[in-house]
Amino acid sequence: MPQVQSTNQLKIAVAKGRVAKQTLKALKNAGYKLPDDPGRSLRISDQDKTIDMLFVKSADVPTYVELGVVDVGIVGKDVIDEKTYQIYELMDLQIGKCDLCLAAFSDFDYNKIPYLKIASKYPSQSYAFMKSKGIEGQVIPLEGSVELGPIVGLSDCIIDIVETGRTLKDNNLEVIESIKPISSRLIANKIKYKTNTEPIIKFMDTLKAQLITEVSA
Amino acid sequence: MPIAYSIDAFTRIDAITEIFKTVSKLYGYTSIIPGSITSYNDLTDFYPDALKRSVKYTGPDGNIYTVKSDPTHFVTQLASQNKRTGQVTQKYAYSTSKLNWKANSGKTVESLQCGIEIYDSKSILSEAEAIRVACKVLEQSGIGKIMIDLGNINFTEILLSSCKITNQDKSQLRALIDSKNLPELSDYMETLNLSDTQREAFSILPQLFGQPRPTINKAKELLLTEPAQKAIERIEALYNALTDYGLDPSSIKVDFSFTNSYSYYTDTIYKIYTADSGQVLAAGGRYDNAFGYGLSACGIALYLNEINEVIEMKQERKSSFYSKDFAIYYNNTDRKNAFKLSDLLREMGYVVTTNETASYSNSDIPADVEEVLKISDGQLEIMNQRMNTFSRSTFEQFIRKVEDQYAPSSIH
Repeated sequence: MPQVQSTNQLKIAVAKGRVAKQTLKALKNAGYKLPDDPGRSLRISDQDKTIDMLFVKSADVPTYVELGVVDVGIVGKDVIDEKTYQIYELMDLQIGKCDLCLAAFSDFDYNKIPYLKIASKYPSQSYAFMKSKGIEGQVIPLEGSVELGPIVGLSDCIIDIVETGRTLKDNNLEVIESIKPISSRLIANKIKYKTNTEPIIKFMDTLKAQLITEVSA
Repeated sequence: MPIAYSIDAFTRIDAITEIFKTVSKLYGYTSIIPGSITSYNDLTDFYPDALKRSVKYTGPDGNIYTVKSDPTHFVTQLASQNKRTGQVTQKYAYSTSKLNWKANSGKTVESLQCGIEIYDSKSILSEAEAIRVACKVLEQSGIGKIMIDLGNINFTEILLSSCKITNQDKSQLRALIDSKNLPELSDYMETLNLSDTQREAFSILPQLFGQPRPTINKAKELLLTEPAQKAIERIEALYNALTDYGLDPSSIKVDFSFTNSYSYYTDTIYKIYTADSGQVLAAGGRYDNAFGYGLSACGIALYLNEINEVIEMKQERKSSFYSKDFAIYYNNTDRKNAFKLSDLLREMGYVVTTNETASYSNSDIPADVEEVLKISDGQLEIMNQRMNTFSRSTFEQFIRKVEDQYAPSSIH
């Protein structure tokens, strides 16, 4: 049973999709009385009214948190690192695990390409990767289906998150280099963390206990 | 990006600015208007963040300038000039707008701020006064549940300076401490050559915040050098001064994890916010020898757009936000009387508008007028929008009543 006070309901923004599903599962396992499937609802509360969850587009989670619309948010590290947000990054939740990877056709070698073109949903992190490797080139920002980049000749390679690698394989691409591991993080508004500290800390403790239980199981 | 989106927002911001001018004047601050253009070179040595966020242009002289980057530089320059003419402990108040490039939206945003700066005073009481003035302005603007965060960037900086690590590693540590990112901080420290004491201190820093007394005591338990102990003492002294000023001790918190990642502060820093919102409403700190002018200095800036948003959200002051005291409606035959009455009221300090119309409906009346006067057959029909009352009166009776009972309530 979670220890969060119902008088101080905690507002949480969660990235829709896989992260939301895994978060719901983890919170239910931790004792929160939440529906099995929220369906198309964008906002749900637990039966005890201790938490108020908003399901938003992953890229919007840090904005909701930064502006204080919610106290905390759960979103992938890939989203957090793409822009500069004034937020606290409190916990690695060990869910939504994947890798940010450079992928291309199997014969690809970026050292042989004088001016590299990378298609990516993550331009900032792609430029950071190029800088760290001393690579000259450009990033072509795409919103989705980045795998098409090398296929249609738009780019030499892509930088994207890879979970199973199946989409890459289906498009004859493969991981050339894993740039960094990604997982979902608990983030907090800097002021809400000070003014609503107790519920946030208790929520963190509940999640931590749940993580320990899962790891040791 | 516009600085405000509606007449209501401009009215509220104007009202807050007026409150700021009144309060700062009562505390002995001289009102000034900061210049908009600063030489880029004047800022870069002391304020590298200007490189990233300011709007710049190259002048006909080939020099680079920043536009509305930071009013503090201008005020410090002014204080430096005045010091040469013998002025001591200078106190300035300003209101201005600032241009900042926001990385997240990829746009340059113009925001409004008021601020006070105090020069040639090393006393912690100057910082306490700056915070007190800011809190007064917020209170009088209708902001409730005000909270104050106190920190001292020296605390972290002294710990960092004792580590034999690269500047890049120091920047990374600052960023991780700033974001209270304990898991990554722990991982990153594993890659650095740090002593156990240093490692322990950095691990505790992000969690070293909360109520002043216990947090300060916890900080004192760390094995610290003398300068770090002094940084704690400065926070303690500031907390004591603020409580002597009558601020509620439970509204004050201490956070030792503040770092100097972005600005020119050199010692104590403070942030003011409200429990009703997730945004900082005012922030400041001590910035001795800033921009190389050799002055001890401290100050605080109030972020008017953010304050306006909180007031708008709560709509606490909406009912009292009348920008006009009277709107006089008249037809052509009563025009002379209407003009005479409006002049009389203005001489008494009221904000009055006149409208030539034979008839009007309630929907024609602007919401920001407190009292509507309709001249009809030499008499007045009086509708008070605040009290929701209606009455009739002669001119003489009305003027006498105004003289006896009323005081201007509009924001002017």
